[in-house]
Amino acid sequence: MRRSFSFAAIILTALMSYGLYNMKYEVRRLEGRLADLQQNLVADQQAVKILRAEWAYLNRPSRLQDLSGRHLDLQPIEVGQLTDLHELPVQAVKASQKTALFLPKTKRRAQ
Amino acid sequence: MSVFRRKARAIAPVSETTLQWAEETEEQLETGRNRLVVVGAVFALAFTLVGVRLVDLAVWQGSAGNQISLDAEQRPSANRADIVDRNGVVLATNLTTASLFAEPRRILDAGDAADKIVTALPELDRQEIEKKLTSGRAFIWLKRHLTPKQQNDVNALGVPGVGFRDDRKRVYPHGNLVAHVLGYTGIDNEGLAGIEKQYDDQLATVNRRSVSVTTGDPLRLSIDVRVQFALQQELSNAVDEFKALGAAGIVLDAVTGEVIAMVSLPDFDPNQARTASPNAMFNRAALGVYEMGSTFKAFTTAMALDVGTVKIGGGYDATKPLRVARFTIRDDHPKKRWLSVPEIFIYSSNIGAAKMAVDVGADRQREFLGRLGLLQRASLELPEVGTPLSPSPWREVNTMTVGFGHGIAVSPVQLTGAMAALMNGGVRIDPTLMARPPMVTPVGTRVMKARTSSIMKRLMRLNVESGTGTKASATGYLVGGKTGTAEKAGAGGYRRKALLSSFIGAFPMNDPRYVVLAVIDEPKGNKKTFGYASGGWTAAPVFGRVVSRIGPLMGVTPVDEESKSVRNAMFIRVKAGG
Repeated sequence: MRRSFSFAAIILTALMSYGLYNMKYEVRRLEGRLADLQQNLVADQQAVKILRAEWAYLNRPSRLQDLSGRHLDLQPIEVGQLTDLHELPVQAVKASQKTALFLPKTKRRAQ
Repeated sequence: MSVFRRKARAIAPVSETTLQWAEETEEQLETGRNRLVVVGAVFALAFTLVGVRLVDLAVWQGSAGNQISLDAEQRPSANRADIVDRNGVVLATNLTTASLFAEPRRILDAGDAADKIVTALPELDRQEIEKKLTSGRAFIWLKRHLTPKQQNDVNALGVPGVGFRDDRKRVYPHGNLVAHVLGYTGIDNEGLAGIEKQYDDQLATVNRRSVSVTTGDPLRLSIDVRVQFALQQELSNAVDEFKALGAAGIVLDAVTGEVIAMVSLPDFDPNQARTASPNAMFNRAALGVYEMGSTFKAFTTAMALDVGTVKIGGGYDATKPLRVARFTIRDDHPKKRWLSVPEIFIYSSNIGAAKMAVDVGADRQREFLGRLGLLQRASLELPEVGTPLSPSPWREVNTMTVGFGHGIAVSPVQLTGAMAALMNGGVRIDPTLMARPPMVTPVGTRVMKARTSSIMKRLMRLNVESGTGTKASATGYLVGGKTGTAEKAGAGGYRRKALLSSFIGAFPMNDPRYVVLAVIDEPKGNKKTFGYASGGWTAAPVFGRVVSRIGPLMGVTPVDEESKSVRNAMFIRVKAGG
């Protein structure tokens, strides 16, 4: 009885030591991976920051104006090119077109 | 323990003495057992506590503890939040750069190493590098903030004993464009001017709490870089054309109080702030205070109409120059007759404005200008905000001169803020450089009757149609405004040739949304302006061009200025009784 108890305790200790050893190395591995990921994350964030800064730099209004002047046929919008929808002249629409457009199908057939 | 007890019983039936001895032994054994139990319990308790704490750390607080250690490890020396414009365009950001250092003790051949380094970084002095490399110190900087290409070149040399260390640099991608608003930072990324200084704590702490380099909300300004660029370009063109000393300009949202653009010329590059001259660093739009001249007549007219000392149909006699104390007040464009209030405004009559101000009186004038924010320092979010200069004591002659904008010096920001109140229906809103959340209209304080504001809009419009401000017109945007031409004060009085020419106005006048100010410091007239350097000839055209450019950007719908409804909305009777 006592002997078997001691025996079991020894076995248990051995198993737990092995378990602990495994766990420790597993944790070390995971921590290494975590550090790697964190490092990549920081590197990526820095890259994103640099790209955002470069984007802002390349989109300086003065540069855009210069480029558009050299490569595009665009001009600033003239006031005359803008108007309100309700200021557009109403186009005359024939009566037959109106019915064809706005009446439900069955009625159209009946006509 | 039971072992002892059994043994004691086994030898029990012997003599009295042995029995006594056995009893004594048993007593002692009992004491020992009790002590062992107590010690055991204490140990068990201690181990339980340790166990509980282990579980606590590993399971409950595991992630938090992890975070703290990472944070401390990765936190860069001096990180700062970004600054963006109202549309999220990056105005200021931090970049990680590499700085080149050497460990002179590990350098094998200093001469050879210096030769190699200079081939990759030609801007460095070879002698100096060699001196640094032979200094025998453990660590020395060779060059800070290398570009990625330079870093690559130096790496390719393969010089032993030199290396790179991460460094942080504040970068302003837009260079000069927003310089005076942003300010700049020092070598350790501490704010030294502008928004960088005003919000130094906030910008610096935003990132201190977080792990990553990008999180932390950027500071969003009310500035729009596109509008800023239009204003800056038109002003700098005017500075070149009129060989002026400088210029300032502001675009203000009259409804929300947001400063959409703020330009001061000459400007500087905040990326190289240390090389900038004090003149370039000076913020003329917020820190400079100037006698603005005739633009003040808008406030005088509004004040007189609001108080009711004169009706819009009334007027004053401007036949003869006005003598008061040792001064003589003359008109620049004398009409030598009785002028109605609208005429006083559009012909910019000093005599009329002075008489108008005297009728209102010094006390009410001071109170009115105070309500418009012209007598206190503007509450703009910049460390560089100028304190206005106002007359003290405020005599009758001061009342007169302040009536046409002399003897009182205010900053362009104050002027623009006060004009916004005149244009938006009579509500004063403090100008701000911070973006306001959309759809939230700030609550201002009413400073005049809505009717007064309505008349002022018509007068400003009239002035561009047929007054001193005709050159400010921008087809379709229904602009209105007032010119200002002030002689700058010098030693022993005003200097006739040194002018501060300005134009302040708003658009669209039927419902003004944006107030625009253009100030040009000491313009010189040229052939195109027939030698004139007044506000109507120099600043008004800038205003017109700026409005034409920013109108479409801000989504202002153009109107037909000749249409009946617009004409009716802007109608005002010029000749009294006519």
